Amino acid sequence: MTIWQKTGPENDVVLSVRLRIARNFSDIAFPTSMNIKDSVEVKQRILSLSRELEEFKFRYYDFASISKIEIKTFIERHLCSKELSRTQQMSGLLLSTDESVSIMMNEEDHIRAQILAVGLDYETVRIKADHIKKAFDQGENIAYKKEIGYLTSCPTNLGTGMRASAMIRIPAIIVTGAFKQMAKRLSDEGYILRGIYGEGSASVGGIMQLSNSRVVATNEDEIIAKVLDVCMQVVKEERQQRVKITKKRSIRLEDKIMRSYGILKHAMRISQKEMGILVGDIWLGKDLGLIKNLDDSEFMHLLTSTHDATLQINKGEQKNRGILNIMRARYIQEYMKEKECI
Amino acid sequence: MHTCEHCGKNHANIHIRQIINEEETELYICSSCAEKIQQQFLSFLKVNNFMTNMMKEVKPKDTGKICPQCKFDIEKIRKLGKVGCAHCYEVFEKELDPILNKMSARNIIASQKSKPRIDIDALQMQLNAAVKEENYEKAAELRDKITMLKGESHDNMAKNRT
Ligand SMILES: [Zn+2]
Ligand SMILES: [Zn+2]
Repeated sequence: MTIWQKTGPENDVVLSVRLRIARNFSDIAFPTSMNIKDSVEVKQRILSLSRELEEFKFRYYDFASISKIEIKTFIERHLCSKELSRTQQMSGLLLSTDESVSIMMNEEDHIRAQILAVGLDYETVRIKADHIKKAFDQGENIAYKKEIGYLTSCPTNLGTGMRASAMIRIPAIIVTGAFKQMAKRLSDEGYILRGIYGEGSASVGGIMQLSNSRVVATNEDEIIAKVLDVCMQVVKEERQQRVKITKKRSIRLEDKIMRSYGILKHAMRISQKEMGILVGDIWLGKDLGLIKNLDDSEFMHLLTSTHDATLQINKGEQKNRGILNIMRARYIQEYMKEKECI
Repeated sequence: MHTCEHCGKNHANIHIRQIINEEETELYICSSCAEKIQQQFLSFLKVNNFMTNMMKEVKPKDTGKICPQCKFDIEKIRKLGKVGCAHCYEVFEKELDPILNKMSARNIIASQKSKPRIDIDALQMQLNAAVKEENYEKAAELRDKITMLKGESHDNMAKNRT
């Protein structure tokens, strides 16, 4: 069972939180200058250090020997970065069975560990992150320099080597137009919001990634305390806007949601992009009390299991886009068939 | 003698052993394929614009030094906005220092209590922009903020001394 089948605190707004830890070996060139022999050595070292981390039941994927499409499914599920997928040959990924921990090998840094939890649950990710740090920091040549901290390819990541972010869903804030003001307020506090698939990608269903924009000049406790505070502000605001919309009862918005529901239930071809919009609409419908019998984890499942590569892998065949759109519509129809949502 | 597992043509002059899950695997590859893979890998590296901009501002001097481990020089770091290995932080300490200072990276560990300096720097930059735009109302506001923050850090220093 993956963590996505569970729900967490404040899950109606905060889908997941994430900590990212960067580490490098001091005696091997960073991925910015490494050769193939170095890359293998790095993978070996990480594999042997991760033996300490049995609790996560890692599976290892050597990107030199798995298919591009399989790698794409990792991106769709946010388990690895786009950059890692492009660098194939020399990279690798350790993935815990519940998908809460992924360790990227030879991305921008030798080690990039990513720890996820569902909902606003930094406590869980913090505990896991501490175990992971402990395992890696006992490695002999972890690059560290007094005064500037853990050494990274990008000087902007120096210091604790840790970053915190959150995946949030703020459809009401977007619908009511309160977004601009909030984005400004967040940016004043040093946080930015961007589409979930990295810089420049459009928001799907009001889902955005909240992360630190400035250089983090603080310690780990501060990083987490601050992001927690910012998340709570967002949660409050989004809930207020949802109440506002519910009271106002905009027939136009309700019509849009119901139409989206109808399409999802009955359409025979749905593109990945349209699916994102439609699921986003009815998810907002759930927030407003119009759509019933679907919980947050089920929406998340609908979103992540119907992307192109994931569909292809699950059906075991390479398909063209047109066929994928039919497969997607069929999958959603099946999924919603048993559910009476209105 | 082995042929390259990649191109299947050339003589493999690079031999890499790896052990995965207690199983040993071997990779035989020719140097031209290895070079190709490395080039492809490096071509996907993203430039860190924040750093390159920072280096444009600070303009560290190129003294012709080369990092013995990764062969990077300051020009390469400037282009990529990233260093080549851990030693670069030693080799180019002088060149990187003003930049790190500016990013207040040095304060990371020291800043557990005090306010990060970057706040003042960022405000100063906003102030400069406001003056340029002749937005004097905003400029005055920013100036007050900066004076206040500077005062605070002086107070802190005084406290620490006593
Ligand atoms: Zn070859
Ligand atoms: Zn170097």
